Amino acid sequence: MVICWDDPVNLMDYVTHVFQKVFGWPKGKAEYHMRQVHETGKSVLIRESLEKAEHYVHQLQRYSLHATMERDH
Amino acid sequence: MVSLLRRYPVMIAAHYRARHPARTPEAKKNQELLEDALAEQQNENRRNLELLLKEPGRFTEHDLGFVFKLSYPEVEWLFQVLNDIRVGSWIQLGEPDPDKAPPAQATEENVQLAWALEMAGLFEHVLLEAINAPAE
Repeated sequence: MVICWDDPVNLMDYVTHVFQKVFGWPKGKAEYHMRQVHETGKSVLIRESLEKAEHYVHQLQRYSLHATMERDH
Repeated sequence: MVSLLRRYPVMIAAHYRARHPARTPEAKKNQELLEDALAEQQNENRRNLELLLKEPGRFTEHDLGFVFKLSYPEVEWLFQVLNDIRVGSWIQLGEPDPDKAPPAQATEENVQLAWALEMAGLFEHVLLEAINAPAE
């Protein structure tokens, strides 16, 4: 699964925009995950195969968001 | 804007490794591959940035300053460049949290980093407003 972690530097609108762009989500879903990151410290963005998860983490890191992969238990 | 963009790249690809270290050899290898890919991306972005800043007609003078012309895909690419500068500057400042810690000491270097952090955020905000504005 792909996790995005909170930090106090990324603009909230910017994070929403990146989620929309990387995952193709509608604005409401992107805002929901952005708020979850902001309020709880992290959000599980997607559960995917290792290959796809790597792709998404790379995309998020290109935008300098703090994203990691973890095995889903 | 040009002074700000000339600072790119600022972000260190391996920075987050210490905070979330890989737990298995496989995960460690994946992390290293991602960091290599990010470093390569930064090199390519820097080359493209140099070409873009030299391109005639990108900046046109107006009454109040300059107009910087960009296509939509270029705006998307510029977000990545600007946020590299913003987040990289913040990391070099010691990752200050305005709610928890006092600001970094006002050395000349820190003032430059704080300037870059704020200006990159300002331009991100302007670009987000521009692409979300209704078409005329």
